[in-house]
Amino acid sequence: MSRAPALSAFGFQLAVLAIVVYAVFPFYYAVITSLKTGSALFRVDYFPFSWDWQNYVALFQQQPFGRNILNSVAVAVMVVLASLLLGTLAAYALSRVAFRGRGLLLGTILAVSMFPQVAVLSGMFELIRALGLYNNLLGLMFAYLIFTLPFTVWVLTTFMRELPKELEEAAIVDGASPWTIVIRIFLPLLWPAMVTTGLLAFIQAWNEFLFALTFTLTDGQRTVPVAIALISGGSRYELPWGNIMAASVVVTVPVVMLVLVFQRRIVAGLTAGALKG
Amino acid sequence: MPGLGGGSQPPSASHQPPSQLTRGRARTAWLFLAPLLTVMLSVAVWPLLRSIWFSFTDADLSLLEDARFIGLENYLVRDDGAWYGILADPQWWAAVWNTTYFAVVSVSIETVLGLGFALVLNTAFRARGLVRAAVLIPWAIPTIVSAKMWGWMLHDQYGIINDLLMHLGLIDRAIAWTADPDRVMTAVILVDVWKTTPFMALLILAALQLLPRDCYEAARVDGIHPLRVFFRVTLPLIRPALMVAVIFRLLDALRMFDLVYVLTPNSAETAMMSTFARQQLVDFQQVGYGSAATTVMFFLIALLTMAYITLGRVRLGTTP
Amino acid sequence: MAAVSLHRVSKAFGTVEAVREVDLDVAAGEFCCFVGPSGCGKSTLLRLIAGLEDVSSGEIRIGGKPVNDRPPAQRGIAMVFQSYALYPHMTVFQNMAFGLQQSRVSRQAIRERVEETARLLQIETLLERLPKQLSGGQRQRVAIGRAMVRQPRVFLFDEPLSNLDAGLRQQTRVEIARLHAGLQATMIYVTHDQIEAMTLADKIVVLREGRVEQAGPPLQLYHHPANRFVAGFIGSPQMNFLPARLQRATVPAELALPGGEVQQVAVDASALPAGVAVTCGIRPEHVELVSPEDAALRGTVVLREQLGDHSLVFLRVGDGDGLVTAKLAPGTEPAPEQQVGIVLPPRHCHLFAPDGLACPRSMVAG
Repeated sequence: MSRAPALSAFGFQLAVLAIVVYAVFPFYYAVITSLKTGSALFRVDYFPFSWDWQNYVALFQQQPFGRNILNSVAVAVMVVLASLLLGTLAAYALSRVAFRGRGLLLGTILAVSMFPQVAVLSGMFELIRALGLYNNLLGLMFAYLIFTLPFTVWVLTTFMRELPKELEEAAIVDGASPWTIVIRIFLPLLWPAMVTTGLLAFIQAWNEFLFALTFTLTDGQRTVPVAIALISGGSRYELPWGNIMAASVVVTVPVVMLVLVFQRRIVAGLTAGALKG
Repeated sequence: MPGLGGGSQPPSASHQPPSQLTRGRARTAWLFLAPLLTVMLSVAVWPLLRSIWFSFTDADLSLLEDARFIGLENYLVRDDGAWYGILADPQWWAAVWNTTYFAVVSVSIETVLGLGFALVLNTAFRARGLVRAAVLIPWAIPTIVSAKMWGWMLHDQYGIINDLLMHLGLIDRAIAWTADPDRVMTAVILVDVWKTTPFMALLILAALQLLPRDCYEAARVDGIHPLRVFFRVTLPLIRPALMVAVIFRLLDALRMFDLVYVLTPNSAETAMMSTFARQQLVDFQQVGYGSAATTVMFFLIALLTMAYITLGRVRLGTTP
Repeated sequence: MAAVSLHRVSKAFGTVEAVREVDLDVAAGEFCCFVGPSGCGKSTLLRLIAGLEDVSSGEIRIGGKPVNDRPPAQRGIAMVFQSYALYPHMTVFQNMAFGLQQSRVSRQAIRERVEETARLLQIETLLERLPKQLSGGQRQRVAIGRAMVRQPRVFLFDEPLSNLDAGLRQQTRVEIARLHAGLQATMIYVTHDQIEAMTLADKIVVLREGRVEQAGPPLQLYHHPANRFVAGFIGSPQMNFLPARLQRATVPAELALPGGEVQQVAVDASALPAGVAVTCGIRPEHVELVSPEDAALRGTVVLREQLGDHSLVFLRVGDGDGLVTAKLAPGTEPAPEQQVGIVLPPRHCHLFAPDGLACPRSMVAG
């Protein structure tokens, strides 16, 4: 921790305030807007003017937004569970067993996370249609693994590497199979890392747009980002901004809660993934 | 087991056949990896190869099965004296330029701003945890939502940004941020910077917190000005982490799709490689042509990634 | 209980040879210590016996049967790790039961065995605690209990006392000795502390750079070290080494010390040519100090250490930097800066050839 360089105490506090305003203002403004209706929307207000919840009601009435939220939750949860399962097993192999080609494999898995999503779009589209998963949440879950898996494997491998070797050796001497070692010895020690990775994967899946846009057709199957993007009025100039802001708030509030509660873990996971790499 | 008798050539592990123990462990490792590899092959490798295959066909989205092989025609072909194909498409190259410009400018601003944030957050003060959590919010919300929120704030008639700027006397007429061709790129960069500066800030903060404190204490004892300390001590020490973060972000920015699709969908000035490609694929149903675009994009990014890895290794090789 | 035998065992990590052509036999029920400086390969050797590493060449037999291809759990061994390696999220009971659960022992039998072992080690009140709630010594005992409960044929200890403070170390050393006496178990014990080796072992194996320098009962290594390395490694304070020249290769041999003094050594040096440079060794407790007129070799007292039950006197002899150490009864030490005469009784001297090998001592030490 260093002293604030060349800033007085007041200047420092100003900087902190600026940062908070920077981060929070758009959200704050979205909340204000969402609580206004009718002509009030067409006036700029810096502070809350009204507390009208009509936008929120309309939001859920005019489209299956509630269903959209459930879809997003379902997909995200499935993706997280699948990623953690596959990722933990793979992480054991990649971090605890020395075998030929290990470094190359890890590098390749990481490289996959560098794929531009569009680059697999046509191939993925064909595959999903062939599996009969078009306009289906399972299809989305399947597709999302392309970016949640590499990241999950990478972070879990980093964390598993840190586990003491002697613990594993004691278990080997005790006669435990690799499966037992993972489940009964490593998993209990690894669960903070798994929570972190799960959180980050959840946020990634929750926010995803391109695949959700391309692989779903009907409103009932859409996830939240797509639903919000497609909220429309009669024409471009008739966008129901009140509804849109209400939707934004509805989607942001749980994320904000998650972040506030888990901020330490999230930061640790992000930096572990990027810095230790 | 025949041992090599106590001669001058001692046995080395690589000359011995691996015992059943190591082979067993290696087998288990591959078993554990099998599910992951199967999924990765089907979710990443196969679609990628298929997309690349499509780029050599005249596939149409409505009739994918009828795709015929047409060689490099989607890439470059001379027909009637004119060049056609993605590599001769001025719109494509405009998109490439837009994407590069966007990525470079955006990441530069994010890095400087993020550095500033990180330095502030590196100081201990009350409510630091809360501020750090607040700073995470822009990163955590879906890009779509940021795009919509900013779209609303940047609205030409009812937007708060225009209102603020006019009140401050900086402009005399409202700006159509998301429509005016001269302004759209600025708008996109603005929102992207807003959204990802926190990510950079956190990475840099983590690097700052790993720095040894004795450097700073020695500098303080010697009475060196804090700014000089920053440029001569801090910056060089966090350079490796900074480089990693910058490359990470650059690769991310080059692939950007969500923001432009929602904020400025109809502007040619902000057409990016990804939006161009998707437009070809889905809107125009030109799967062959679109796949050529995505393949070119893929190789551009792959090249950059490999350059980063090799450069990174070179740099790592020089530090002990 | 089983015997362990190693036949020409080697282990290389890439190009680094950790263990070279080791031949070793540990009898059933024997307490065998591997000692040596760090990097000598003692831990590697232990891990080879355990099965945590593969041998590069050679054969390991436990109970007469080769175990090279057997995983650790099927070798009949149990190991106590340096850091104890207790499973942090499991209670003491679960820690001790884990190995038995892997062998499909019935729950009833597990409970009985764990409780009985806990009673033996006096940790039965700790069974429901987590490792982080235990002191170092208690964790140590749980680690031993975890090994005992599996009733192995061979116990392997990897520097188990190095994480304990001095007082606890001595106490636990006694407990381990009593454990061995009670169980009559084959125990292989790795340590860098030669005092532990001297006090606990039936047989000591001294290792250096992957090779066995000498193996045998502690007192044999003490009184009849096979080479200069073993002589200097075993025994604290370290044996004195004086450079000399072999004048007459007879029995007893006659040496010329740097200052010209003649020294007789009760060894058989007939294998060496006369005139060759040799090293004379003598343990501090055998050095006698007399008044300067009564001895050919003289020295000056540089430093005294008075430890209560004995005193150490460091003497400068001649022009060299080396100091000769003498161990004396308390109260008999000379004053600092005092000139004294040094007597090295021939029957207590060792002689080492230029290549380090010891000449056979022709009289029994005493």
